[in-house]
Amino acid sequence: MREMTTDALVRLTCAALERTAFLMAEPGDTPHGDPLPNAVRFSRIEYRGPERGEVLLAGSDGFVRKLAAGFLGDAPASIDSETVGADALRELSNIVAGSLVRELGGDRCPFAIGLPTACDVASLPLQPTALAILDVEGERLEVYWTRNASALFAA
Amino acid sequence: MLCTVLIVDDSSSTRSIVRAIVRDAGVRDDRIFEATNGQEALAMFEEAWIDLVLLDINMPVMNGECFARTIRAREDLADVKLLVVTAEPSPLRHARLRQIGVEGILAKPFASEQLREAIRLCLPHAAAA
Repeated sequence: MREMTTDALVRLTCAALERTAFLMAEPGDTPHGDPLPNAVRFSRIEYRGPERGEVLLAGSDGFVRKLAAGFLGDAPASIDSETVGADALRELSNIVAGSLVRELGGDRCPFAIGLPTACDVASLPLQPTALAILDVEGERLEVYWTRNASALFAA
Repeated sequence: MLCTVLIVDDSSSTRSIVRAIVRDAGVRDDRIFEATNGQEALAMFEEAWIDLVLLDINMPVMNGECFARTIRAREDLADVKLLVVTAEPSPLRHARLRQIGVEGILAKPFASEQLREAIRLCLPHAAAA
């Protein structure tokens, strides 16, 4: 399997945001930057294959509104973040996970991805393999990738 | 020629994005239907004459592969075009889908022009409608 770096996680997430929602993102929470709003919406998706892992996205309320607005061509203020915003975040986790396992597996990509589900702050991994914190036009998006190779052999 | 398109995806966000692109490709809005999984999509075939299905793969209840297999097993639906739009990365699964007889597979995230072009290839008469 190929390795995945935080830079690669940033790159593929930025590509997904730009292509699907026309949102520009850059690495966030830099020492000189203003703190970004806290993440309040969460979505996770698992993948399996030669190894297992999970991608978890955490976004601020403003982020999920902007994301859904970008998807739908609406104004962020008109988005119900609990329903439409949460759906958009789940779909983004689906896309990011698909891109991630394509990077991990290369052309042969022997992975399958599961269904994205909403989760809460308690689901955040304590020790992710990689974490990307993004500033998406002033809003927060965190992308956690946790590789859990041992799970496959645990049973 | 009036073309009818069915969008099958469990994400309402994706259905909305895809619907806008399908409209852009020349399909009338009242000719675009939506379903949230394969089972719902199969039921739509009893209600409308569908020309093209834009199909996600990973969905609850009935996934896209199972749906595609069911459609391709029906002679009366042999002319229905199936275009897969998915984040599912597995080449093995893609190969199975091609074997089943889908017209194409478009990976998410996609550029809207890619999807428009794929729709035009499947429905060359849609833009003239």
